[in-house]
Amino acid sequence: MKRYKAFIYLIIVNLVLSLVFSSCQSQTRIDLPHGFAKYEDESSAFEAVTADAVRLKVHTVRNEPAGSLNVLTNTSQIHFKQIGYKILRDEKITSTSGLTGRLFITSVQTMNGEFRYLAAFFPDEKRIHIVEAAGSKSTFGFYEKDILSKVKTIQPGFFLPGWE
Amino acid sequence: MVKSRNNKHRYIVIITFCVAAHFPVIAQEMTQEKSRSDSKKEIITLDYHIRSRAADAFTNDMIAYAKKQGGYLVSINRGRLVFRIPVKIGRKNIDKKIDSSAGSYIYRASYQNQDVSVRIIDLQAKLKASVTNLEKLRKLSATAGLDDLLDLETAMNNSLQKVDHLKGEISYLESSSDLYLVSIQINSIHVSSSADQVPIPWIRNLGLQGLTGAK
Repeated sequence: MKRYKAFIYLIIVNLVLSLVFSSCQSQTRIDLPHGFAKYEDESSAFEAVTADAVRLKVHTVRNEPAGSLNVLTNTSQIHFKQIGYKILRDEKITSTSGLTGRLFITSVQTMNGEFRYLAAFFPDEKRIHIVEAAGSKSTFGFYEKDILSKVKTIQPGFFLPGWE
Repeated sequence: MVKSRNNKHRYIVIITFCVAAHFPVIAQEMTQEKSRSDSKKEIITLDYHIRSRAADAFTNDMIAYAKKQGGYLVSINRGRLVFRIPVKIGRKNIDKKIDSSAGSYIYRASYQNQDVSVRIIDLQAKLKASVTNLEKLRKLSATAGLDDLLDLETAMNNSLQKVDHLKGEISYLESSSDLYLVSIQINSIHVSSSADQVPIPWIRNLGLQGLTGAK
């Protein structure tokens, strides 16, 4: 009888644990902007693309070396200058869940014409949640407003990078 | 009193003599130093990364500029232009030319000097030895018997090839030092900032290269 009870308990614990873990998403994600198709693979990054090749990527990295939002903002500005990107927008952004981050929209000349590149990052204690989007200037403008509103819906994944 | 004055005179004479004796040596060293700096040969590489709204127009403009200045286009490959431009134009003028092209700007530039004077001296010494060797072989061939003639001919051919090779290398290094090697990378998306200035790795990965053609 005791053995039977222990077996039942084990099954219950197992069920509870699998329910808990299945409710925790592994990918950091945002609500999918209009016109995007999401890649449904096992990648740790949330990636999507439009019919006219505007790309979107949401992922999480370790906050290493750990920097405050201010330090990360200044370092990003230096980075964009060093790679020849012109910063069009550089502003504070707050997600609907209360995460504070930084948004950059940049312009860059490529051999295929002018491109727009968007990067938004939201640091928490140990992680940085990053949203990137890019496309040619002519097509990106069509999606920009919706992407910006969806960036704010960012929902951090459960795992630290490297755990999954 | 008289004795001490004589001693002083003696010292002055000795010192003057020593200085006079060393003067030719000092003069010779100064001349050598001057000729060394005169014969200093460097290959100077100018490396630019630029963004341009009109890459084709920029390329044509730069080709025309290089030609006008007595230089030439070496290669075009995947948005990288390589030119040879005379050193007498000056680095600042080349910077100015690239930056002043309509719709273009330099976002990264680096310069490298490679001193090749020692290499040239080295090659010249080797050339001298090879020429002497060739002369010896020529003299030998005049008196050699029929049996040795074939071996001598092979040795002379090898020696001649070596002399030509050395002459070619010397001439390349000497002419290279009169021309800048100018490399211009246009509108590259495969660039990252330097770890010295951007010490946070994930920030260095921000940019189009992480997104375009990812899947």
